[in-house]
Amino acid sequence: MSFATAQDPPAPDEALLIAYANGDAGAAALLAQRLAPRVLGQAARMLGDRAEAEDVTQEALMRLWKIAPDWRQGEGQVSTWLYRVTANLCTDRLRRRRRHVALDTVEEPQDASPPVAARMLDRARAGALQEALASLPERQAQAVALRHLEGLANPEIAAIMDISVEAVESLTARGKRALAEALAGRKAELGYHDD
Amino acid sequence: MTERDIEDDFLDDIFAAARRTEAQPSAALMGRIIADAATVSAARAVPAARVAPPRGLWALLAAVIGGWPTLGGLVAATMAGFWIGFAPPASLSGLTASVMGETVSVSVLAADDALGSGG
Repeated sequence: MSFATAQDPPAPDEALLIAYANGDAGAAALLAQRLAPRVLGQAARMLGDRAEAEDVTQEALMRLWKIAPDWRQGEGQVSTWLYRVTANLCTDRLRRRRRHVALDTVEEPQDASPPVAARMLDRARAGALQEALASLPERQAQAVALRHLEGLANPEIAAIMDISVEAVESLTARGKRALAEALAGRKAELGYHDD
Repeated sequence: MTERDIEDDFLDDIFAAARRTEAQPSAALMGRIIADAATVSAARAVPAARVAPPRGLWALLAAVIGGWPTLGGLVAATMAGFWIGFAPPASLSGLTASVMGETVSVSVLAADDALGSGG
């Protein structure tokens, strides 16, 4: 059975995973092409560090390859499972980073042409957000990141985190409040002025 | 605009900045990921390949009774027993007569001359 033909409707992730578990190397390549960009994006948005995001992507997919033979059909979506694994790996790294690295390592925006300045401001804001996320309780950080960085709906986040929709709403509300407090003192530095 | 709205706008801007983080996997990363998949797959295949091929009935039988040396001894003992039964030595005939009380000879051949040497 081949999954590579362009005319066929795309095989679900689950079918590809089962094919890989049965020894189909092509299925693994297709799955990697489909899933790696999504995992890398999620990790990069949460971590703001390309090398770390790549490590997380490789690790998350390594875990997927290892559980492939035990994957129970119809029990959940591969993408949901990967969101969860990636969120866990990222919050672990944010936590470790918080313990080992000084907080004020974000580059200051410097004088430059407008697009470059805007990009640098974006980077500074994203860096400040990642630091603030690292200071949040793990579940709050994950819920906020899935809602506001990945743009997922609350029921989907509930499935990923294995909690109720109400619990997601509560976590994101508390997380946002905590983020606002953590970032309040850095508004000027991030280009905001209270006027 | 309330203070909460201002806070929300501020956070929305920050989230939007982080969402603009673009990341496409490099060819090197894809290569590492696919190599991992192959390594995990190969590691799974090894234990299956190590299973011994099925053995034949005679090999199994020889193993059960103690290997080929035992089987050789068994064959030698069987042949010796067969020969003694076929042509018992005189001393054995005497022993049999003393235990059983009489000697009985049964010929399976048409003539008594088993080796066909005539006489």
